[in-house]
Amino acid sequence: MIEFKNVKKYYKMGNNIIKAVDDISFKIEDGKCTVILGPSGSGKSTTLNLLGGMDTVTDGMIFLDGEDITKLNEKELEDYRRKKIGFVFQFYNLIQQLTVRENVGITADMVTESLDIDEILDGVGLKERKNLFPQNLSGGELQRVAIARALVKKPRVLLCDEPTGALDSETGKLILKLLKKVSKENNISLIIVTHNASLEKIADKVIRLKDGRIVSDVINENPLEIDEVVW
Amino acid sequence: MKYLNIKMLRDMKQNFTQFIAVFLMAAISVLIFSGMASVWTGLNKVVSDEVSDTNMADYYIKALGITGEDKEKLLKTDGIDKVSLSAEYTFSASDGQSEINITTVDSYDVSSFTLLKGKELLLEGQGIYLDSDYASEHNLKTGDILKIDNIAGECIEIEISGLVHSPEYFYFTGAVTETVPNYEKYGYGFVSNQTFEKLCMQLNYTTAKVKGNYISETGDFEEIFGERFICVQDRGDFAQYSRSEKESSQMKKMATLFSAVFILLSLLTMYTSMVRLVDRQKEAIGTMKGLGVKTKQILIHYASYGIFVPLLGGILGLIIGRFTVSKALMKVKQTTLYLPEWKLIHSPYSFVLIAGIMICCVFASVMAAKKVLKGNPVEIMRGNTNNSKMKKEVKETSLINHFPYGLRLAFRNIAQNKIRFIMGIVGVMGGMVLIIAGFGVKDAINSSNEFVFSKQFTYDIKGILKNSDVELEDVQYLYETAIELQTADEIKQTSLSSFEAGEFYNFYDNKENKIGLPDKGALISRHLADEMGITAGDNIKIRIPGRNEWINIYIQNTVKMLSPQGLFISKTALENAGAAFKRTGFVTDSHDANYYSDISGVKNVITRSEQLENTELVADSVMSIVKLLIMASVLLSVVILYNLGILNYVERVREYSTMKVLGFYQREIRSIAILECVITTIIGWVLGLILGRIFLKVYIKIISFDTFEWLSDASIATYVIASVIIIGVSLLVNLLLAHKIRKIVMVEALKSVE
Ligand SMILES: Nc1ncnc2c1ncn2[C@@H]1O[C@H](COP(=O)(O)OP(=O)(O)O)[C@@H](O)[C@H]1O
Ligand SMILES: [Mg+2]
Repeated sequence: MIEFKNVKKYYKMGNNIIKAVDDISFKIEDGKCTVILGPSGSGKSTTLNLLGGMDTVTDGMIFLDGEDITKLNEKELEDYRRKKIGFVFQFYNLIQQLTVRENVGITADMVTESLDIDEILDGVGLKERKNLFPQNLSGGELQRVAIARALVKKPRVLLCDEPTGALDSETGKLILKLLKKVSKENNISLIIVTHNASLEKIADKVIRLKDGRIVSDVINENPLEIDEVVW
Repeated sequence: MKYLNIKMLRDMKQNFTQFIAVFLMAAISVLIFSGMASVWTGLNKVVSDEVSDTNMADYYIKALGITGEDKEKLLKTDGIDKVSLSAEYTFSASDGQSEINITTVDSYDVSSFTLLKGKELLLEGQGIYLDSDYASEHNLKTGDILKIDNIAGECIEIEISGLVHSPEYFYFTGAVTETVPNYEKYGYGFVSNQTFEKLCMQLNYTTAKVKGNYISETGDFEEIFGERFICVQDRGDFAQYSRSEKESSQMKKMATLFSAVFILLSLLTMYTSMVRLVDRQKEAIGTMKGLGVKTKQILIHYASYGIFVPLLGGILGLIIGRFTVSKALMKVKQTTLYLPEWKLIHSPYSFVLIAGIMICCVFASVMAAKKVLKGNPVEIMRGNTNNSKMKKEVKETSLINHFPYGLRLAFRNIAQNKIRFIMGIVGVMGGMVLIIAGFGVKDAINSSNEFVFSKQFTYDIKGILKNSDVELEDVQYLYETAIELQTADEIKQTSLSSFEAGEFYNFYDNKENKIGLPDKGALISRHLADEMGITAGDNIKIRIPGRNEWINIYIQNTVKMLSPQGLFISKTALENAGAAFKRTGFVTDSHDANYYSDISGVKNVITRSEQLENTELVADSVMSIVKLLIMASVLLSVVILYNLGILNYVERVREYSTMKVLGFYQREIRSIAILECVITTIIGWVLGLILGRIFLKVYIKIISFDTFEWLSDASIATYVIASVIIIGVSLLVNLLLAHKIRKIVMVEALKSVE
């Protein structure tokens, strides 16, 4: 269970204070797919980064399995990211000098109980491509690698910031399908941040943000399969 | 263009490290080189001015009792334009504390002197024109009375008519036992014939100073002087003058060689920095191109980067060099050379150097910009011009699959940035080489002096005799003279030392085994032997001044004799070869120095520890330059390594922040980040050790005079210090980078790319 309790994140820009996240509270149940939706600048990435332990809150508490991560020190945050969080970026952020397999492998080495690298790569459909370098892959393939990399260390939560933002819609759908599939299989909470409203139909839960505040927080009783969604 | 200039300022802020690296490199290179160059340029100028102002002789003909008639004959000889006759003798000051070498001439046509104080330069008169350095050391000024003992031991009072300097006394040590000028003990002066006769009781000219382009051929002189002819020397053989040329050229070689390595390193660094700088401007270049800025304008814009930064650095170097390097070097040279004045003159080469650096930087930035400009604007903006040269695929069987990921990364990074890798190695290596050379010079001086004054010589006191018929107790007599040495190929001026039985001079072979002085044949110092291609078993010929015939000498062996360079022969062997042994000096370990200096037949004495002190004085002064060089080298290594480290960091910061987000520990990221630097440092260090050794040997060989063989083995401490410095610098840079990595704001770093 993930819980945000009155979380605020303010940035100081000269004399202005930017309220990137302004007093938000919500809960997310385990193993569910959550979509955080909102226009650009509404505070989605900030919310995700706070949960990912990459940024510190100005105020409020964030619980993962009952532990308040805003209380963790730098060292503990490292461990938190290492063991509990998987991250998928819009621009993949793979290490260019490592092959597909190595990119996944170097992350697998971080934890004691990782999934099997080759199995994972098979799972994301990269069996044939695993000895290639990122520069030789397409955007969709790159995102698959990123997903494999995030999954291999069996995270509690998989955080995806605009995972389909740089992809065409067909490829985007395939990636979303993959994300849903693997998170379900491994009982991982999946949180997807996007500005694309058509994604709301596939989620178990949709949180809408605007200007750093929650506009709505609804549970989707009947999420659609990705193929049913019109983009 | 105005906006481009504003842009340039903004770029400078953003690429501070690169600009600073280029700036510092230019400044340091110019500082070192120009600092030294202006000393020798000034020295050469002062020397050549004084040589031409005083109409200094081109040749010195030595003969006994040169007459006016001889002079007429000389003047009729082809190629001789002007002649002055001179006589000289060294007198003691009446207080017995110093000696003055006094010359008289029949005219000032050739080799006059520079009048520094006093009314006018007279040929006739009662007074003395005294060496100004001696005068100032003894608080004497024009109009004061100088008291000198004449040849009969009577005290003669002479008024000082003026203070002078002569280029014939640039390097005047006063006695062969001394190696550095000592104004307190030795001076020189000029007097009229009349005054000279008062001092010497007689006047016999022994040197004809000649102006002209006479080509050395002694036959004519033997015809004119007959038996009285001794030898002819050209200006270059005249050590009291030519030392100034030698010192100047030594300085030149020392500075040029050192700077060459230095400049090469800086150019490489500047080049890569400029390339890197422009490379990072891809987006800006693409935008400018897209906005329709002309290619030429873009190129000019980037070329201007290459002009201003090094120009400013160069000018700064020029200015600072004058107050640091020049000052220090001048101080050193002042200990060995008597000059009427010391000037610093900027060498034209310093400006050539600045221009060269600018050209290199302009070239680098324009080339880099051109490369980037080739693509279309959109491609450029998206950063698609960096065609990373990663191989397509890695085979399952590839060896690299057995390495840890960090090493794989490092290897591939290296493979992708070969030039930078090589640069890094060259930087570390260069730093090592320069530091080893710097400290090595000190080692060389110390160990050479140590060898000369504790292994070669074991006497306590060395004395020079006034005349050869003095009888002393408990001494080993020496005969030291200049000789001409002839092999099948060449004739060279060198020295001969002959010894009566005794054990104060020790001879060693190359393996430092002691060799006795043979009864047949001579030993030759190995440096001279190498130079002239002489080996043990050869027969050579020598000629002693004042004697016309060549004497055959068999070379028994070459010996490790650092100074003096020349032949060493026992009295027996010398007499067997057909030459007379004339006592010119002695060495001993009984009594003390005062005992011998009080004996009337003894001209002067010096203790071995005084001799060592003299050389240490020179060594100390050399060290002050070496220290500057070392400091510059360290700074250079810091800049190179830091620059490389930063380049590396900036390129990888996105990867590092990704890793951080993925949960890599600080130390894991750090170890990956510094691995490349560590590999570079290790390779550069090993190569630097090897190359430093070789460079030092060459360096010492080039800067040493042919009268002294410098040992060129650096001590272990030197290698250790150089290693500690370089590895320390490398570590420091890594620490800085580690700090930067720790400070990465993940969110920012990930965002900035989009
Ligand atoms: N590091 C930062 N410094 C200052 N302002 C920031 C920073 N990060 C985000 N912001 C601001 O906070 C607001 C929310 O940003 P973000 O969470 O990235 O929005 P979204 O992801 O929904 O587009 C924006 O107005 C953005 O400009
Ligand atoms: Mg965002």
